[in-house]
Amino acid sequence: MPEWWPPVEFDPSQFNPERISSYYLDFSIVFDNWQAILQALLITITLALLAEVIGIALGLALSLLKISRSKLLSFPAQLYIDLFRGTPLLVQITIIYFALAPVGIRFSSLFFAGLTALALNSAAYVAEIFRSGIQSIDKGQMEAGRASGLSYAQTMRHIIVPQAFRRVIPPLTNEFVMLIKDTSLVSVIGLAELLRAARVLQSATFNGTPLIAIALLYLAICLPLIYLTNILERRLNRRTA
Amino acid sequence: MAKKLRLTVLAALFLASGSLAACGGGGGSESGDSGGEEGGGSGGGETLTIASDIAYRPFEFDQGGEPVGFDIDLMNEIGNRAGFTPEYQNVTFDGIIPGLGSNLYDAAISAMTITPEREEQIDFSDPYFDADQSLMVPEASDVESVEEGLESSVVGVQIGTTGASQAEGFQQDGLIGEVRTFDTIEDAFSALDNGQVDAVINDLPVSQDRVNQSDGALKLVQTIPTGEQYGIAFPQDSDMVEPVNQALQEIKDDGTYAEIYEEWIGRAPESIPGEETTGE
Repeated sequence: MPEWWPPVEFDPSQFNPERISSYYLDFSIVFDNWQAILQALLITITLALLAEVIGIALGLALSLLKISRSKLLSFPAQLYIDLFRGTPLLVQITIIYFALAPVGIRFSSLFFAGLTALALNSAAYVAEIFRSGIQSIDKGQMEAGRASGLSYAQTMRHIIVPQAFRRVIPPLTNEFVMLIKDTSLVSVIGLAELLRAARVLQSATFNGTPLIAIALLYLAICLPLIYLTNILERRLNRRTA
Repeated sequence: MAKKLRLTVLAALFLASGSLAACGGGGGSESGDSGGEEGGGSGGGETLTIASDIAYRPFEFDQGGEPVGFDIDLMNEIGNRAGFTPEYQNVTFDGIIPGLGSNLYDAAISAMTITPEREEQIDFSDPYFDADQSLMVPEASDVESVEEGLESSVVGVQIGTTGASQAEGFQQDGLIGEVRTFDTIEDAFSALDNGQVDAVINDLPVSQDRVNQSDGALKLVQTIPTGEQYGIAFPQDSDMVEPVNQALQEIKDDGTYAEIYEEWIGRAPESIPGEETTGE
């Protein structure tokens, strides 16, 4: 190891299997507090689902604005997307809840503060997913639509967007997985979602098991979705190949 | 290309570790060292890592990159007399006990109340501060006490504190509508400023300090006498407990304790913990 390498100590004498199992695997703490965990799980899931729905609606609108040929429409959309993709979500959540009071915006509900931050953030990513999806549809589709007498908006609505939607389902599912994991960031404002609930338990019991338990819960939710994304992607590839 | 990338990653890691070390020193290892020298002259002795959640005026807070406050002055003085140089590491309060448990720190001073539950995990010094809890509300609030007017209110607390468990107890008794936990007491205070919580239950001296600084926007309406006492925390079976207790006793006896107390709490101590109870 070079001299400047930051020292990392590993003391094998500290390695204590008994302490490890009592610190990480004392699931009685979780079972004794199952109501709090269940409630937190519901909050996490509701938060992610609602944020995803709002994010998709907002994101679709943003993507259409962004690909518009009018600068007046595309510039604000671009600005929005850059703003939310270029700053950390944790910072956005903190600003939205703690620092909007001077402009007169005050969230009395933690849930809606968190939901707002997550949905606004997700919209920026979803917008990019839709944009690339829409732009991946062959130009000929638009030309054909226009040639058969449909307006730009009609062609978009009836021909382009429905085709794009199929293509963006895998990346959207992926975005949903990210969103589920990102709900944990909302714990910073005190909303009793999974991470906060686990930390409250951890701080009361000085035991790491609640954290392990919620990690397993996140896995149980996210892994099936990740595999679903993989299957969808494979199918889509087969069809387009 | 791959090599270049690896170098960049190494450089980034190096930089990151450098800044981590700076944070760990509580305002830079340089300033930590110089602090030790000017206060010390004790020849330094060994440098001990002292964990503290440095966002808890007037006990520990940051002033121009340096940790200052009652706890910091007390710990520096103890270090002087017991022959070690404290190096402060800023950590979250609820991470202190797990951190001591895995020997990440030599000790912790962070306005931490001595409780039986905590004593199962860590060792404490003799008590060094008599504290109570308090109920703080905005000036305009009608709330007069925990028992009246909080049934449908949201009360902010800091995670892992005695104030938090106190508030949860009140909630179970149906006195408080909802308890909201924040990572730092500053977050709870700022939610109170924004009207997002209706009250804060927290250590009396800290809330008192906040009220003093609020230009009349906040008030304390109730002292919740808990008779709790702060202690310096150590990993279990630490051999630091004895020398620290000895130094602490000296500091209490020769009047230094009262000086530090007055400087940070703004009045003479009503009691010196452990003094009136004989046989301590």
